[in-house]
Amino acid sequence: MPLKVRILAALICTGLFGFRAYATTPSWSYENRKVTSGEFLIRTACMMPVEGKLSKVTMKGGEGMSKESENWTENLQNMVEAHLKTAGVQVLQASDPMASGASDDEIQQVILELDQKYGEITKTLNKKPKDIGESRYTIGDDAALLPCSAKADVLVFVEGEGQVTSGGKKAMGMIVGGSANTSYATLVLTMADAKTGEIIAFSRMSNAESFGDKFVDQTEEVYGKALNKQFERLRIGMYLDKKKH
Amino acid sequence: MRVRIPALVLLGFCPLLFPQQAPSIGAAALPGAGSVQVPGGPGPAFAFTKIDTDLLDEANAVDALYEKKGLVMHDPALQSFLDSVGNRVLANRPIPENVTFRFRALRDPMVNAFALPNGSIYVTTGLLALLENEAQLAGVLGHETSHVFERHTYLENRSVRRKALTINILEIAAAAAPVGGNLSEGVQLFGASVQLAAMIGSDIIVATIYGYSRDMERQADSDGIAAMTAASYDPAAMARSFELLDLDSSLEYEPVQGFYRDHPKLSERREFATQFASEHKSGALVTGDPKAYLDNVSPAICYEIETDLSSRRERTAVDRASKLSAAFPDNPKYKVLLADSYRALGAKTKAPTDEERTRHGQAEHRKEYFSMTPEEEQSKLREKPEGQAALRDNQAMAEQLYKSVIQSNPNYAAAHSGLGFLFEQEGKYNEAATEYQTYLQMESGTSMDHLRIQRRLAAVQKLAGSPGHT
Repeated sequence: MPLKVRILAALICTGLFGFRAYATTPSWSYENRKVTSGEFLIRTACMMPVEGKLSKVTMKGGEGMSKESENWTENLQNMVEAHLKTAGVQVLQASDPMASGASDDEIQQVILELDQKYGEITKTLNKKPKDIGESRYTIGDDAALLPCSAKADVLVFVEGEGQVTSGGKKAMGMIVGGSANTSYATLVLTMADAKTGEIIAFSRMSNAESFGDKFVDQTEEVYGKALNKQFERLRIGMYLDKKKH
Repeated sequence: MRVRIPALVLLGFCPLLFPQQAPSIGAAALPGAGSVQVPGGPGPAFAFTKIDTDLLDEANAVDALYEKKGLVMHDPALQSFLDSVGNRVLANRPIPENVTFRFRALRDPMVNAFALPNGSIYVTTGLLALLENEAQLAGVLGHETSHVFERHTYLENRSVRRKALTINILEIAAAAAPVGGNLSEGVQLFGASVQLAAMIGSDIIVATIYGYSRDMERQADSDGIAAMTAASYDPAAMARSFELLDLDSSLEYEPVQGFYRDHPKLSERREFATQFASEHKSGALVTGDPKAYLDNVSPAICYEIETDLSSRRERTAVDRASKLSAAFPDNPKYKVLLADSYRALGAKTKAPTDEERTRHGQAEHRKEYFSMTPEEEQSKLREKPEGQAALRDNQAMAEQLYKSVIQSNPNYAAAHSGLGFLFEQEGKYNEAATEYQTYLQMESGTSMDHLRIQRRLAAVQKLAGSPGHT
């Protein structure tokens, strides 16, 4: 394609990017049958600290988005917690010492250790997520070291990763013809048995369409429906009763 | 680990791990030990722009983020040690505008140290565990503080922004060119590597393709070694640090290491440090007692051992715990950590086997590492006679260590739970139950491990009572 045509196409597409689109594509979701069958009940969840990472790519290179990442992290945490509560699930925080008498530093160390184990297991988990059905993955019973584990059924790991691409960079992407220059945001939600550490649910929700950087503040519009669907699938809280009726 | 080092840090980061040319001795032109002059940076000549203040804000945000994520270690003894070495290296140099020097230990197994432009100097627990003495740490801090004094992060940031624009222009040029067209092969290859790296992130492109400015690294090496020497630390320690970086992590399939550890230029930097040291020999220079160093950084090493055990680096854990335990044989905590490490090693040998050291063996094991869970890996190792032998040896060693702690400190609860885990692993459920019960009697009902041990106790009691178990 001649360069002039590519530039024209890029300009048109840049204009189109101005329109927002929030269609969320639930990329995939895997869970253990004992959860979907209702054998393993999820009534109380312990939230691990949410991780939301955003980066911005412009014609001048990559830029940090630490403040936006922080806002996004908070929004993701609030959204997931709100949906869990709406589903009738009691939400606890991993950092809460509860009645254990453990110090903040001790709890922080356990959280980091569990994060580390989760990171390790995701190397294989990402390759064959369907093996969750065979109870293949676990972060070990160190999960029970968290004070919240005594009361919780599951530990909930939430990770968000997004890239915001500037208009100029998108235009250049159109000229180059690559797909690496589009904005994206992905939400990964994992649940582990709070006592044994077994991974029992793993889902990835991604918005592959261009939406500018508004998704930081509009997490509900972007992920809300997909999250409800996922919770329904897992039959957590009230969804279990709903199915029974 | 899920926490990643932000882009900003990649810009500001360091040095010890980046491939750079050896600093020129001639350029340093420093006098003998005791009268070494340490450059203090561009001083008031550096004028802040909007880009720089934005970067400064981001540096402060990174500090806050590390704190919030619990990545900064707050052990008073360790902090005091870092401050004392750091301040000694800083000496009385005037502090540049918008800089407050803070020396911090960062919970991160990657062997690394980096400086933020606001004066925050981070040394990872991975690096602290690797170094051998105070002088080596002084070399690291000298190098990092030099980056701050010389405003390298700001200068690199400005340069990177210009380079990124150039990359984008070249990307367009490469894409516009027909395949096999007029552009030189070099340019096309260059474009391909940029586009590949662009999928990861533009900042990393610059870091990986262009590298951190060689001149800046050269300067930081030169200033850093001068600063440590002026503070009466033996500069030969810096050469040894480079050696350690080169030797690090040969134990694991997936070594945790910094960027470009294998770059040949590391050897040139070592040569520079060696030559500098030979020119500045003096009886007044010290390296510090290795045992005292271990004692000072022991919280970081203990953290590293626990992290190693959580992330399938059992050999490294054994190595580190052996070092601590050998230096402080009467310390029950270190001995239990060593026992835990041997227990976790399971059917794996303490050092890589000859087969693992071959290129084919390494590739195979790495493949398995990424495709198997830890349990599956152990199960496969146990299928071979050498795996079974390793398991027996490691379990025997772990049992001996736990029992030795119990003998000298009968009330050391962690030794009982560890021994319980070991017996459970060996299928000795009655013995495991006894140890778990002892642990639960010693620990209060609110201890963090209470719930887990209670569950384990119930499980082994059930197994002990099952038909077929004697």
